[in-house]
Order: sequence, then structure tokens, then C-alpha cells
Amino acid sequence: MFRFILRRIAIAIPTMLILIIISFVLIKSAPGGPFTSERPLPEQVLANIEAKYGLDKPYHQQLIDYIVGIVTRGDFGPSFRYKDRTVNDVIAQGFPVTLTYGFWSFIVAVSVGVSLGIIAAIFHNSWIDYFAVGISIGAQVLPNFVMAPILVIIFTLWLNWLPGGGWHGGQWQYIIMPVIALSTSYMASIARIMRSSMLEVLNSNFIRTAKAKGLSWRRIIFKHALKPALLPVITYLGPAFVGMITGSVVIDMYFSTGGIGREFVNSALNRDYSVIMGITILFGFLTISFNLLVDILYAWIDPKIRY
Amino acid sequence: MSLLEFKNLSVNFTTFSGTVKAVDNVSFNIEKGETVAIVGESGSGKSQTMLAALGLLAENGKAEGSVKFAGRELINLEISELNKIRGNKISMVFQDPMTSLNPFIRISEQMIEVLTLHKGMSNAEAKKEAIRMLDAVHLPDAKQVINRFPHELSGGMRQRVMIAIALSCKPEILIADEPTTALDVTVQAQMLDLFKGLTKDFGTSLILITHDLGVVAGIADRMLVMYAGRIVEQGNVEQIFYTPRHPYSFGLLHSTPHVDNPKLRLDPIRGLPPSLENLPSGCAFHPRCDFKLERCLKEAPKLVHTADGRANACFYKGELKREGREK
Repeated sequence: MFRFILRRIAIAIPTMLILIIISFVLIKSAPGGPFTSERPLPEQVLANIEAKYGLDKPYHQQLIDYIVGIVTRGDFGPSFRYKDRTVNDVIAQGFPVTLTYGFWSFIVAVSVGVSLGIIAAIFHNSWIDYFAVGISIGAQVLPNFVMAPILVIIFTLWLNWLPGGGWHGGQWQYIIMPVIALSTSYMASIARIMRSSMLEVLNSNFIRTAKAKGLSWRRIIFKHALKPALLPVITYLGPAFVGMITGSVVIDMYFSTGGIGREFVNSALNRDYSVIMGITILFGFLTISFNLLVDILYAWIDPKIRY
Repeated sequence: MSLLEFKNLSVNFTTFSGTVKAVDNVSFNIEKGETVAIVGESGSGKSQTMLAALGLLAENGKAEGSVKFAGRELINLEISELNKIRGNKISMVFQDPMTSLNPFIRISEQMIEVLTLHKGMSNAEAKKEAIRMLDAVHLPDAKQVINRFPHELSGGMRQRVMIAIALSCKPEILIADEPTTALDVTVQAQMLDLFKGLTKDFGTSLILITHDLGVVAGIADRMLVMYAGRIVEQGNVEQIFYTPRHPYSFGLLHSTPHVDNPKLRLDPIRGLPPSLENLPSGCAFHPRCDFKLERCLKEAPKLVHTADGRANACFYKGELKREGREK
């Protein structure tokens, strides 16, 4: 197990390098730059600024400097757009916000999705099942950029229950709508995966054995069926969590939560090279870590899996 | 009163292509302590008859008629009441030991849960008893094996564990659904010895579902022959083996290899078992029967009991005979 984790970390390093190189090439090949504007800067000024940020060096030198900075100093460089702010500052400010509502969305999506899926499977082919499946399909086809304005119309404009946006240090009333908007479609996917895998497990031979033993349905579901039925859901959880963090772009736009999603979009529009790179690397790091976490979780649940 | 009484039991499955009658109006009794074999091809309804008794039919299956255990009706019995009987008074061992144990749970827990549930034992007591049961089914190193996961055991070991679980509450009836089909021949023989010994020690009635006549000859007192959801012949094993009265039993016996005369050709029953969705008219066996009469095409024979304790469902009363052909 320990060796497996070490090996995975060793693989993660070249993966991150490739990610950095590809995003670097893509960004540089996009037209424009951080200092392009409608009114072109005088040539000398531009040259000075570029020299200050090291943009006058050849591309490969820039890339090497950048990677060396990250590895030796944990420094993702200065932002090209915000004066006096480094990329580390931008991430330190936005990421905790994103992580907060991302975490709650994850909890909601998993707990509601898993329960809904189990209930649907237990009452297979009854109205409860059809109802649960109906909700899941509805929730899945509703993208969060449609969900968000609908929520604002209902809870802010009509009912006047919740504030329409803002963060205010993450007080609960500011978290609710972002969490609902972000978690709904993931919740629906989890519910559907859970339902179908639970149905499959409930039809398996070892569940028939459990029934023949005279066990109660509660014990059959929670002791015998839940673990195997959870495996496909767990596979989905890694990508789902990362999806929620990256999906925060839409949430930040609608609810002005000030998370990292908004910085990501702005940096792309502004060609703020270092911020784009910084957030891309962060997302890449999250993806790799969560996939590793899922694999470890897998081995913990399924005794047949040993690394 | 018999220990287990099947009366006019039918099992229907609702499928996309209509209703399928897997078991058709079956009646028979199981007495205390006896070993009864139910013989038939795949799809003859032998497993479904037993699953119906324990309320283990698939979701789309429905049982009608009556199955009484010690005078108590089992069909449509409330699930909480049924749970006091299954695994406790009547237990079942399934065909495929590789998939019948839960791969996610240790053997110990899968054994202990039955004892704590039905016998009210503490975990420690139950574990001791479980190890004792594993010894009883001749599983070597029971103390170590009990802490393993199913995938760490061989097929024969798993089937022993299944049998140990099934017998741990000293049931009055053990139903074994093709318990040796998935195992090597040498292991099969060990399993049969095990069944013979254990049912005798515990006074358990054994219902053995099989299509292996060698198994039947080795272990059973009585046998039922099923075809297309019906019982076509029943009686003592010796009676049926020496003088089968139904052409299907006759055909089955003649399609087994003879060790004493290896020059004889194997004589299979020609044709295929009928589709339950589209049964032949009259006697379901008539398209494959060498002795069929005009009457068999229109009318299905009823199971007729005779004074010698046997029963068979056939209109043909003459002698069943076929020339043994040499290779």
C-alpha cells in the first residue's frame, strides 16, 4: 500500500510537468498578452515592463524560471494585472471560499444522492422509484447556470428569504444557494449510479444467501449490499469533487462569492499568464490527489483489491 | 403430518413475452430425517420449487398454492415471520459457492451473524460455535480460515463454509441446490460424504436438487423426477433406478455412462427441453418420447399414485425397453 502511494506520487510529478508545459504553450500561443490594450503602450514602456516580469527572455527560459520558482520557493510568480499581488495571494484569497462551498456541495451531493439511490433501488419499480428517477433526470439536465438564476428568482426576489449574492465570510445564508446550484446535478448523477449498482447487487447470489439466512432487510442493505454498491459511486467521487471546484466559475459569476472560479475566468480574459498557470496547476494537483484518494478508498472497501 | 408439505404449488414469472409457468401444480411431502433428490434438466422447475418455499423467488416471480412447514403455511407468510424460519429451521446451500458468499465480509462475520440472530448467542460464543462448525465440515485450520475473506478460499472450501453456515442452527431441513455442480469430482465425493454424515448426525432432512444421477444413487432415499415444471415420477431411488416407469426417467437413466459395460453407446434423450413460454400440447414430453400414444398429444397425464408408494404421470403402461447398442 505504502509503495503504491509512493509510486503514484512519483507518476504525479511528470504528469504535473506535462500539464505545466502544455498550459504554458497554449497560453503563449493565444493572441494578445497581459499588457495589450486598446491604446497600445509606447514601445519603450512595454519593453521595460516585459523586462521587469522576465517576458523578454526566450520562452524555454521563462518556463524553466517558472518551474524553478515553484519547486524551490513555492512561488507561483507575480500577477501581471494586479499590482502588488502575487499568484499565491490570489489563490489564498479565493480558494478558501471555493473550498468552503465546494465542500458543502460535495457533502450534500453525496448524502442526498446516495440515500435517494438506495431508496429507489429498495422500492424498485414502485412510484417511489419512479419519483426518485424523475427527480434525478430533472436535476441532471438542469445545468447550474440555469439553476442559479432560478434559485435567485425564487428565494431572493419572490420569497425574500436569502440574499442574492455575496459571501460575508461564509455566513450560512450566503452559502445555501451556491451549494444547491452546484450540488444538484452531481447529486442526481450519484443517485442514478447508486440506484443501478444497488439494484445489481441486490440481485446477486450473495444477497440471496443473506435472505436465505433470515437476515432483516436493514441488515441486508447496510451490512451486505451497501459496500459493494458504493464502489461505482466512489469511482465517480474523485472527478465529481474536482468538477465542483472547477464548476465554481459559474457560481462565482452568479452569486458574487469571490471564489477562485471568477479569478480563473478573469485571468484568462486578461491574459494574466501567471494566474492562469497557478490555478491550472492547482486544479491539476486536486485532480491527481483525489484520484489517488479514491484508489486508496477502493482498497479499503474492497478486500480483493491490494496494491 | 409431514415435516414439509407441498400442495398444488405453482410458480409463475411475468416476463416481457408473457407469463411463464416454471412450476405447475406440484404436490409432494418431505418426512423428518429423509433425503429426497429432485432430479431434472435445467429449467425443469426444481430450484424454483424450493426457492418459492423460502420466499426467495426473483422479483417477477409469484408462487401460488401451499407449502406447509410443520403445519405452518409458508407461502405469503409475513417476511418477519419467514425470517425466523429461514436459516434457522430451513436452510439452503446454493449451487455456486464462488458467488454465494459476500466477497466484502470476512467468513467469521458471515457465520456469526446467523448464530447471533437465531440463537441469541454473544459474538464470542458464536465465533466459538462457528469454528466448531467449520471443524464439523472438515475444513482444515478452521481457526485461521474463519478470519479470511471468501476470495482467499478455494471453491471446495467455500462450499464447506456455506454448508457450515446452513447447518449452524441445526435446521430441520437442509435444501442443497446442486451443491456439487461447480466442484471437482474428487471434492464432489467428499461433499456427498459430508452431507450423508451431517444429516445423520443432526437428524436433518435433506432435499437435494441435482441433475446428477450418480449423486442421487449415492445419497438419496427417495427421488422426484421433474420435467417442464411438473413431477413426472416419484418413488424410492432403487425402484426408479431399476424399473423406471416414466419414459423421461427411463431416458435419463439410459443416458448415463455404464462403467460395468463401457461398450454400450450413450443413448441421449433426443430433442431439447421445451421452452416454458411455449410448451407442447398434452404431455410436455411427447415430442421427445419413444413411447407416445395418440392420447399424449392432446391430454396431459396426471400424477397417479400406486399402492407400492410410487407415482408417475404417463399414459403408456407397457414395458419401457430399448436395445443397448454397442459402439
